[in-house]
Amino acid sequence: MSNRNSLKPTCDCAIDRALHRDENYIFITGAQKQSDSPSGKSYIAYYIRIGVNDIETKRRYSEFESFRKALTLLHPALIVPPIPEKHSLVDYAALQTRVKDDLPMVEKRKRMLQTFLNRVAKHPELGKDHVFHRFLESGGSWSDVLHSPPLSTLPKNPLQMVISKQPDVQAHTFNAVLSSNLIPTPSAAYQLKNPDPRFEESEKFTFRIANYMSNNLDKSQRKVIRRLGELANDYAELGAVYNGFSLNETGAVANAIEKVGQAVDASYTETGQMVTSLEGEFAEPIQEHAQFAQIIKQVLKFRHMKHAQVEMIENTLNNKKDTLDNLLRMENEAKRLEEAMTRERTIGANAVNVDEINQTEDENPYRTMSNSSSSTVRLDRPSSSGNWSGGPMKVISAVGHTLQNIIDVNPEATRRNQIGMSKDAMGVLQEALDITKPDLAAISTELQADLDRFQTEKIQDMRDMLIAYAKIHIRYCQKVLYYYSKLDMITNILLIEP
Amino acid sequence: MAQLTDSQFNVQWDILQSSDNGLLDPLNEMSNEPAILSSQNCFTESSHIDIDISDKKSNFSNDSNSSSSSSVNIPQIIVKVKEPRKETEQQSTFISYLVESQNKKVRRRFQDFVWLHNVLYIHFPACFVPPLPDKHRLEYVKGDRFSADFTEKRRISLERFIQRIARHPILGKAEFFIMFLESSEFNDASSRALREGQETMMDTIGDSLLNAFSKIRKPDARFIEMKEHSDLMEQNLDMLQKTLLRTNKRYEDLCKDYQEFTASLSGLSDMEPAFQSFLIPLIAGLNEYTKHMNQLRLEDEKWQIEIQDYMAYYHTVKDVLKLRDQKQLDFEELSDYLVSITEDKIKFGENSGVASYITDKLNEVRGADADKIKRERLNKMDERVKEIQEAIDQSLHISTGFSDQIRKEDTFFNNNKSTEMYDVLKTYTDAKSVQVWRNVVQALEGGQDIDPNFL
Repeated sequence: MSNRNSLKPTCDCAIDRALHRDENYIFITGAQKQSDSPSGKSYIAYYIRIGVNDIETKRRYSEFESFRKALTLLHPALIVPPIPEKHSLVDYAALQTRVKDDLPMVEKRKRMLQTFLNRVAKHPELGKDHVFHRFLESGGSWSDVLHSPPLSTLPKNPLQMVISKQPDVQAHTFNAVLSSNLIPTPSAAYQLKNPDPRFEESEKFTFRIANYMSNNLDKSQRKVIRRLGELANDYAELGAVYNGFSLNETGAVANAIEKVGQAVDASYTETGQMVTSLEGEFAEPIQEHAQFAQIIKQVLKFRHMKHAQVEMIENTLNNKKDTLDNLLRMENEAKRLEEAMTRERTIGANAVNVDEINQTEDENPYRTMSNSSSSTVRLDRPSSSGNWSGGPMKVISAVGHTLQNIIDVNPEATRRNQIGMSKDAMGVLQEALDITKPDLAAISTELQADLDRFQTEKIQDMRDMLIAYAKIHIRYCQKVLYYYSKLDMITNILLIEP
Repeated sequence: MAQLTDSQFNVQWDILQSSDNGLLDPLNEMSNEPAILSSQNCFTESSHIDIDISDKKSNFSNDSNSSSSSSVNIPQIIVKVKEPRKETEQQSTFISYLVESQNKKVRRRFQDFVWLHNVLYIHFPACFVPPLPDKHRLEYVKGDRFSADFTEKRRISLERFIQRIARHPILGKAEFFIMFLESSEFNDASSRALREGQETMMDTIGDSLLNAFSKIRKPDARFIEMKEHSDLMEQNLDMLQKTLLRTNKRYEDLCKDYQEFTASLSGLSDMEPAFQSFLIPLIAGLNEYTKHMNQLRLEDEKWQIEIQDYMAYYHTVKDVLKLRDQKQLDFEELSDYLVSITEDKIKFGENSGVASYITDKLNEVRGADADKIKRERLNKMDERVKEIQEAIDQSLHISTGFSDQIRKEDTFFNNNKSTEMYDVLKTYTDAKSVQVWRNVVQALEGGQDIDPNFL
C-alpha cells in the first residue's frame, strides 16, 4: 500500500478510484464548530465529501495547513495550489474576532478550501499522491499520516532529497548520501555559473507579476467591491426615506414616490447580491492567483538552489580530484625517492639529508595545494608560505617545518590517510553528483511542464473570471432596469388618465 | 328712529355672523359663487379676472379618492428656457438665456428673472410665487459662473421657475409676466413697473395692523394642517436631500474606483500578452460602463436640484401662510373694533343720559339736524366696517382657496413629472449599460457557445 517512490503508477486505493476513475468533484459540504473535549477550545471542522459517495471526512484548517506543507516538502519542484491565508495578527487587532466566529470568513474558507482540494486532485502528479488520498480518507487521523512514512522520513532540507525516479534510490525521502557533511549547501546568494536561460526569464517575470498582482490588481479590485457594498447601504437608507416620504403624501403622488422607493430598495438588494457574487467569482480567484505567483517564485527558487547544489558538488568534486592527483603525485615521488634512496644507501656513498629532500619535496605540494581555492580541503600542515619569498618567510617556514616534524612523526602515513580520505570523499561526491545531476534535469523538465500546464490553466481561469465579472454586471443592470421600467409604466398611466 | 337703529343694528350683527361663518368655511361659500378679484382690491390695478374654481373644489375635498380621477386643468402655456449664451454689454459680462414662449422669443439674463420674481412677490402676496434658483455664491467666488455645468443647472431651474408661473392661473396671466415674455424694450419697462409696484405696496402696508406677536383667536384647522404638512414636507425633503447627496458622492467615488481598476487591468494585459485577447474587450466594456455611470450620476444631480427647488418652494408656502395668519389677525382685530363701534353706536342711538341730551341740544342750537348727523355718522361707520370686512374676507378666500388648490395641483403635477423624468432617464442609461455588457460577454466568449440566458 505504501508506494513511496513511484509517482506515475497509482496506488489504486478507493479514494484514487473515486477521484480519477470516476472523475468526482470534491465538495466541502459544511462547516461546523466543534471541540475535542468539553473544556477544550472550539474550532471549525470542514466536512469533505467526494462526489455523491459516502466517502466523507472532516478536517480543520490547521490540518489543511499541515497537509499543504507536507505536499510542498514532498514535492518541492511542483506548484502546489494555495490555501486561504491565515488570519494575520493585524486582522485580529482590527476585527477583534476569531475566524471561527466570523461567518463570512468561514464561508470564504469553505469556498477556497474546496477549490484547493480540487486543484490538487486535477494535478497530474499531486492528485496521485497517496498522502493526499489519506488526507481525504474518512476516519483517518491526520497525525497518524504525519508520523508515518513518507512524511516521517522527510529531510528538513528538501535539497537533501531525491525527487526523480532513479534506480536503487528511494525518492521523496531522506537520502543518506545527500545529507552527508561533504555535500555543500548553497546559500541564497550563490550566483550560478551556468544559469539556465529559460528559468532566468521565468524568474524575472514571475517576480514582476507577483508584485503587480498583489499590490496593484488585487488592491484596486477590492476597492471597487468595498465601495459597492457601501453604496448598497446608501440605497437601503434612500429607499427608507422615500418610503417614509410616501406615507406623508396622498393619492397618485404617494403612489409614485412609493414605487420609486421600491425601485431603490430593489437596487439595494441587487447591489448586495452583486457584491457577494463578485467576491466569490472574481475577488477570490484573483487572490488565489496572487498567491500562485508567490508559490511559483518559491518553486523556481528551489530549482535554482538545486542547480546551485549540482554546480557546487561538481566544483568540490573537481577540487578533490585535483587534491587527490597532487597527493598521488606526491606519493609517487616519495616512492621513487625511497627506491632511489634505498639503492643509494646500499651503495652508501653520498649521504643525502633525506629529511632535507623530504622537506623540500614536501614544500611543493603545499604550494600547489594552497593555490587551489577549495576551502574544504584541509591539511594538517598549516604552512602556506609557498608564494612568499624573502628572509622572514624562510625563518617562518623553517620554524614551521621544525614544528611539523615534531608533531608529524610519519608524513607518509598522513599522506596516505589523506589520499584515502580524498578518495572516499570523491566517492561520495561522485555518487551525489550521479544522483543530483539527473535529478536536476528531471526537476527542470517537470517544472517546465508544470509551468506550462499552469499557464494554460491560468489563462482559462482568467478568462472565466473576466466573463463572470461581465455577467455579474449584466445581471445587475438587467435587474435594476427591470424595476425602473416598472416605474415608468405607472407614471405614464397617471399622466394619460384625463 | 329707534326701530331704524334696531334693524340696522340687527343687520350689522347678521353681517358679523355670516362673515364669521365665512372665515371658517371659505370653501363652501366659494362653491356657490365665483370669487371676484375686484379692481377696488389693492392687489393689482390692472387685472380683473373671473376665476371659476368650482370644479377644482373636488380636488381637495376628496383627496384620497381622487387618485385616478383628478383632473389636471393646466393652461397649456408652453414656455422653454434654453441656449445659454455669454454676452458682454458695456462693462459687464453675463450669461443670457433664450426664453421661448408661444408667440415670442426673447433673451433675458438672471437679473431679469430676479426682477420678475420680486415684482410678482410684491404684487401677489397671497400667491405662492415659485422660488428662484440659488444665487450660488460659491461659484461666483471661484469664478466658475461661466462653466457649462453651472449654466446648465441654472437653466433647468429657471425653466422650471417660468413653467410654474405659466401654469399658475393668476400669475401666469399677470401683466408683468407677459411683459417679461414678450417685451422687447424690457429694461425701461421693468424699472417703471418696479417703481409702480413699490408705491402700491406702501398703501397696503399702511392699512394693515401688523402685530407679529399676538396669536389669532380662531385658528383654522385647515391652515394648521397646511402648515404642519409644509413642515413635514420640508423635513422629508431635507432628509431626502442629505441622503441623495451622500449616495451621489459615493457613486462618484465608485466611478473613480472602476477607472483605477480598468487601469490595473491594462497594466496586466501589458505584462501578460496571453491575456490580451480577452482583457482588451473587458477593458473597453468597463470604460463604456464608467461613462454611463457618470451620465446616471448627472441625472441624479439634476434630481437633487429639483429637490432643492422644492424645498425653497415650501419656504414660500410657509411665508404665505404666515401672511395669511396676519390677515386673519387683522380681521379679528377689526371685528373687535366693529363690535366696539356698534356698541358706541347703540349708546349713541339710545339718547339716554345727560351727555347725549346736551349734545342734542347743542346740535339743535347749531341748527344741524341731530338725527341726520347721527344717521350719517352711523352710515359712515357701517360702510367703513363693511368695507374692511369684505376686503379681509376676500383676501382670505382668495389666498386660501387658490393657494391651496394650486399647491395641490402643482405638487401633483410636478412630483409626477419629476419622478417620470428621473426614471425615464435612468431607464435610458441603464438600458445602454446592459447592452454594453452584453457586447463584452460576446467578445469574451468568442467562438464558443454563448449562454442563451444572456441573449
